[in-house]
Amino acid sequence: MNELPKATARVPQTHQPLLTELIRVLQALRKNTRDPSAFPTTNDPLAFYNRYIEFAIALYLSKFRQLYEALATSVEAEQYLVYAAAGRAIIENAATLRYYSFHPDLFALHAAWGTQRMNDEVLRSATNTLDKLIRGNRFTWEAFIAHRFDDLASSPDGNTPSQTKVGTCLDKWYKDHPALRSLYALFCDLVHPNLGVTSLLFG
Amino acid sequence: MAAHLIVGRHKPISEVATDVTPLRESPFWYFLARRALDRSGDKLSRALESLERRATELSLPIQYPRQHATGWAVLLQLFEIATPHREEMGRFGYEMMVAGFDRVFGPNGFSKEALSRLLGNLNSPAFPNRKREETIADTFLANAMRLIDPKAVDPRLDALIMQTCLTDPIMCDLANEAVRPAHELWEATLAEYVRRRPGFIRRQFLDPNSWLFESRE
Repeated sequence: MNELPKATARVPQTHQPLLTELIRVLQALRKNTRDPSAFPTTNDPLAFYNRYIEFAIALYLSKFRQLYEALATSVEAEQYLVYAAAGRAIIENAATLRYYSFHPDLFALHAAWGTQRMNDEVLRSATNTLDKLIRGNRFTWEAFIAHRFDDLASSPDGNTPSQTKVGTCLDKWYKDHPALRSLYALFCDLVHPNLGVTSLLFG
Repeated sequence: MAAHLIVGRHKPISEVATDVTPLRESPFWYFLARRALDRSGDKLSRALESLERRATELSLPIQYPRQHATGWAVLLQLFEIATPHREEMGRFGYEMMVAGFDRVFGPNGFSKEALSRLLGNLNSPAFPNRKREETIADTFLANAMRLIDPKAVDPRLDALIMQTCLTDPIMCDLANEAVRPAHELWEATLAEYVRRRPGFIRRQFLDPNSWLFESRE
């Protein structure tokens, strides 16, 4: 059964493979997001690290699933501003996941594991890096949850780490794939209050 | 990312600390307080009746009104249950604890005020050489009581009433009984909470009764 009948009927033959690919991605994400993953609470350092990796994978699969579902729905319903917002978020999340997947702290742990160089610090650095990926932020979440609204600010509070700027993650990706820079710029213009979004809605 | 999983063994590495814990979530404390209150029942009622009987024997013009005294007793029990976990909770966990208790004990702000008074008493006990448990019992005796008829009692007698109450060994034993926590409640509640705990949005923005107390298969 075609999941995107209206879009399929609408787009030219040349673009049909893109819809087929979108459906394939969606189906793969649905298949791989069936099992929930709990945040690790063990105090065993290696178990914690491994659970954190698994949690990160589950988290990003779920993120991508929601974003791709929104993307598909918006294409089908011709809500192109939603399409652009979801597309931009997919690029940003992919850049962030890619940045951390290549992070030197994670590779350092692998290199040191089983050797004399292995120590607490190596594992702690790797775990802290994962923590930044999962819990990094720029908002006073504790103040928000505690209803201390006068304390709200654009910096992390409590023990949560600060985020890595998405621009830093994108810059890293641009070095390997320069064409991505203009693709991201396009999606930004489609979302920001610029010509792009005007064209989407009233072009 | 999956390629970063580590397999095999290595020399022991020091434990990691995580500040992601149900103790930093107000619904957990709400759940714990509700269960503690629901289970306080007969044992606490008997202790309160005995306290009033003893007060009559001592000719003290006081009573321990059920709702008011039960709130104090259960809150002090909860404080005792939570105390071993204070480092794990941190300041934010404490805020969440008070927020969770506030959903159970009225009037609004009672939990914060009661815990502040207790912490003040623990810092500066009513009598020298008072042990920690005794100070908790003292806090209960002093705060859970009410004068039977405030207009009929000379305010100058307040100190004497309080002193008689806090120095009578039977009153103290009964107060100890009233504030003694059921320690098994902690493990059972924590396990049940973790089993029921939904995601962030439901925890923060939906009525916790919908997921904490409804029956589940």
